[in-house]
Amino acid sequence: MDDEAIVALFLQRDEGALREVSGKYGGRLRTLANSILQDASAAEECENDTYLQAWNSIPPHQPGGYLFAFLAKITRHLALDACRRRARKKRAGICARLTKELEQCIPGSSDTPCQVDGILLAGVLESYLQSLPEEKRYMFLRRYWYCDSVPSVAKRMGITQAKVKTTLHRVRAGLKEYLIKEGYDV
Amino acid sequence: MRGQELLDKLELLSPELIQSAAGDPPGAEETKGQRRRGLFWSFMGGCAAGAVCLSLALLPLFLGQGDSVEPGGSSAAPLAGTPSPSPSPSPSPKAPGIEPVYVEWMPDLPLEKYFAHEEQETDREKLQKLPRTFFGYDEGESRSFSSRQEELEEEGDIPSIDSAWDFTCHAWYDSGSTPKSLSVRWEWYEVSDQIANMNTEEIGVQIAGRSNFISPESYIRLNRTVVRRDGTEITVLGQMDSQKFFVFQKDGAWRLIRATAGVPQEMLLQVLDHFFQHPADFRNFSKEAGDIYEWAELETCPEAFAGYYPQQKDSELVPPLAGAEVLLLNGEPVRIQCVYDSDTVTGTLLQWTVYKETPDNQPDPISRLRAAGDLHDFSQESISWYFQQVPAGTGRNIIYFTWDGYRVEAQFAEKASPEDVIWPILETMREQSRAWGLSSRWSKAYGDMEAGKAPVDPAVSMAVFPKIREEYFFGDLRDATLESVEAYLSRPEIRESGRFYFTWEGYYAYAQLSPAAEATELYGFIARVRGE
Repeated sequence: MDDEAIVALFLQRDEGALREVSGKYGGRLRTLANSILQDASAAEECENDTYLQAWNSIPPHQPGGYLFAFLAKITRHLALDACRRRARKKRAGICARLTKELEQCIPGSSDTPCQVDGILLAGVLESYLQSLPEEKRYMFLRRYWYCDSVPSVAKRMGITQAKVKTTLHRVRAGLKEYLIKEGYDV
Repeated sequence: MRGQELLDKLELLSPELIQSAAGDPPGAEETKGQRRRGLFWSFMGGCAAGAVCLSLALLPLFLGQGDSVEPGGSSAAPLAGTPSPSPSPSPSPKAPGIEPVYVEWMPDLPLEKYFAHEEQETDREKLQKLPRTFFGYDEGESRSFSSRQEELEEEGDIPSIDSAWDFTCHAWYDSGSTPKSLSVRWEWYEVSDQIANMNTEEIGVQIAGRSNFISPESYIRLNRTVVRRDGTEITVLGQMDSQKFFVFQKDGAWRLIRATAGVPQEMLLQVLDHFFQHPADFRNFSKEAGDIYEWAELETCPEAFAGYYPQQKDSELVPPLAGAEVLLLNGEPVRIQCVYDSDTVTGTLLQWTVYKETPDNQPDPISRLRAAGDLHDFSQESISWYFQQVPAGTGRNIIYFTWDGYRVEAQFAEKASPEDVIWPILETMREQSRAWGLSSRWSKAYGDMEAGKAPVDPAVSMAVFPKIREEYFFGDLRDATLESVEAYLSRPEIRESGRFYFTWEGYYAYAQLSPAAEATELYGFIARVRGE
């Protein structure tokens, strides 16, 4: 069933919509959640909560042309929240590692929190990522949006982990320069 | 702006950009050694993925010339976190007729120089006398650190080895929290054109802080070469075209590095160099920080992998379970191995194993290459085709597949027909896993529940999964009493989870639980579900 038809089920309040979306995207959403949470049970709950939020937000949203991205955003948000809530007894999890890496992109003192207009920042990030070669853009998104581990990114792209680390390092440095140029130097 | 904020703001990227990275990478193509899924055999033919298995074994090394064993020449203090430096090892017996040849180390010393002075084939008898510690095993309680590869690389405890298929790391303990030895291993698999054969290449590293780990009579020199580097003597065992061992003592710790014949030279030298210069910090391997694996009978954890292995009630083709064991990782099930009574129902299912993969819990590597795909994609035709492709004599009655993120190995009797036995059993398992319990009956029963009371929006909250969080499981609603509900809600972890997990009419389900939910409210909800 295509995305438009699934969204139509949501709009009709037909519970079959959840069955369809689970069958079509459930595995990928679980994989995304599991990349962040490193816990299959928690990832399943995250997937289930995604369906609940989708049920509650369609309508008014009608993501016919990008249903997966719509769902994946919800899953990612829920998983990152859950990841932070859970007190890790052992070493820092994926959230902390990704945060630490992205700190390198932030101009100025990262100790100073500031209210950043999310929409404007997203536009700047989008502009920067669109300026990158396709391979680098893909690598950045897999690492920081889909929260894949470095070995997973390397395997997915058929390259070495060293190349992934080096490329991401350069992309982060480039992002930092771009943010400075756009006036995000705090 | 903090890194966390940037991580969060990424979710505002456009859907087009997000979806552009959802699938395969740009210019994706199968690379040699890459794992494949689907209903095709993965013919990697001759892919020589050398695996470097670095085994640093804590083994007193037979070093030095004559009858004296010279400890490492470094005068540095013992490594942080390592056990106290051991006294000099006792003099090792000198093998008759063998005199050491010393080679002075220099940067870029090629690997051939380490084995330049071997004169004869390594005595296999002597190799067999080597203790288990040469091969990465020790006595005592152990813990796994295999899931910490990235962290260990960042800490500098281990080198970054790209392209390894598998990585494992274990620590062994006597009493106390600090390990007595560590073992690290990287593995690769070389696949032949026949698919039937798969060779494992590996590097293993073992480190320990004791020098009397091996009894003196086990000191055996199998080679003549001793490489001197910065005052430390590295004894070399083995040959260039076979298994190799490098043993040395430095900064109070013994290190043994072992590599199989096919390991690339530069990789082995990289590992040797790393552990010479950067020994692991034992403080990073405390017992409390490690993972525990242990086996349990299914009876002690009956919910483990429920719904993911066939039972007799599922199909008349399925024999009764003769036994089932569950592997627990820190108390969580990560594998179940089921054996079926093939005398009761003959010619069908023999064994069924489900893996929730972890670095230390992997199915046989051949299963990745022979994976038939995902259970949800199977058809009778695809199953028939799969078994037609299996070469004779290579386990024609075993099928490997994935299922909801798990890996499954199912072994059927040799005469089990793919069309009449195997496919019906697989189809039954698949159809059961697709059961979706949202029902109009529930929406009708609870549509008038006041918002804010438990549960919230019950019709949709009670989404159904075939598996459930065991630690929060209430039980079946048929058996609920007000007292059992009170006892359930009195558990702090239940309040913290905000979930109410239960079974009803054969379905697993959970509902959101409001923080202020009272036992009487929840029991009232249960009564409504039961139609009271």
